[in-house]
Amino acid sequence: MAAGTAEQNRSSRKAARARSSAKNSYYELNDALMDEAGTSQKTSQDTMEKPAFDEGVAEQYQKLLEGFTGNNRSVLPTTSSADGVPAIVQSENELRMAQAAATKLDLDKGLADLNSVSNYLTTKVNPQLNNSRATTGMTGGFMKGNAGVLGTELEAANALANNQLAQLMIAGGQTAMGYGLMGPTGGTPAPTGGYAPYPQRPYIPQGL
Amino acid sequence: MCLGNDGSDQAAADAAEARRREDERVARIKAGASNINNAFAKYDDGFFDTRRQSYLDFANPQLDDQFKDATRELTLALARSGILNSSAKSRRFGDLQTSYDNQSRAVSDKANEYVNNTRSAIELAKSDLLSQNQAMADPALAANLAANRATTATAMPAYSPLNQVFASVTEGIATQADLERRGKARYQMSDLFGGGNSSKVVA
Repeated sequence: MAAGTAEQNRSSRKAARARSSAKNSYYELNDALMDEAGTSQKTSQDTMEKPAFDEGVAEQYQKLLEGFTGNNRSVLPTTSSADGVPAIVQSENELRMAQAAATKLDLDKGLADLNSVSNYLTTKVNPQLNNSRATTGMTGGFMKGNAGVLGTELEAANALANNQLAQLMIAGGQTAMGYGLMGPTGGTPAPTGGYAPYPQRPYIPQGL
Repeated sequence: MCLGNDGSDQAAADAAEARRREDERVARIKAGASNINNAFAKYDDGFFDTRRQSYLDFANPQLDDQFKDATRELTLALARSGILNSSAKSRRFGDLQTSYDNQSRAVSDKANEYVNNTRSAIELAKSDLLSQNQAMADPALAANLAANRATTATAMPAYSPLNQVFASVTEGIATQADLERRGKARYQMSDLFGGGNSSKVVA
């Protein structure tokens, strides 16, 4: 019976080790998935942090401004005093054109500044947010699947504790002990387990 | 005496099967996501710069044609009014230049708007596909859907031609010429009638 108990204990320890291993694998995989999601989320967060945000907006401003100033191919007919244009008119021409150029640059800068934030959000932040959202959703799905597998792995680990040989040895030991306790003149052997039967008394009618 | 496997082998096999299936599911989802990302990788900054340029190539020639016409009409109107070499011409051409600059900026801004709309549509399509891929974990289907959505997203939007942006360039020139001529006549009449000076020379 002692050998059976030892065998059962060995199986129980084996089951405990298997459970621990399954749980450790589960935690390890989950940690890796959370790290993956966390890295992606951090990248998204970084796009909104102050230095990166300002740099991104400034970059978009510059790109927009170059687009506005670069998209200008108008060449109005130039005039000069040599063409017989009076000097005062020529001077007025130059003044008006300079004013138009200054106005253009001011408005180009204003619109570039106005659109730079939304352009940064559209071109940089939103795509990265979509990426991190997809990664987080995907890793969340993997964690859910991992949790489902953990259930079956724990069941398998628990099954290792079910050692039929140990149960047989314990039962055999109890039976042998019962026979050992049996009296030398014979009689009923001691029960192998459970409750001992209540000894039967002979029926003796009272008052006779 | 054979005691059998007391059920633990079967449980272990079930657990291994569950793990194998989960690993396969993960691999399918990752492969599907990779297919989707590959399908959308071509939509980089260079692609969107090309889209921007395509709109500029569409709109700028129209703007340039209208500008040339407006310049010619303005020049002719000024010439008809006899004020081609005048400060009025300078102001008119200055206004025309500013008007052109505004339209040119609007064209560039519109190109940017088209690009951003296209970028958003592509991002939305990619996001949808990644969500679907997670749900079904079928990489081949994900790749086909990605290709279809990518084609749809890059279809040419309906670009409207430019309106007549320099329609009012010669507006008021006749009136102004009349006023200037009247002003000139006033001075001539002043010269004729002694310039309106009430002083008298007493000999």
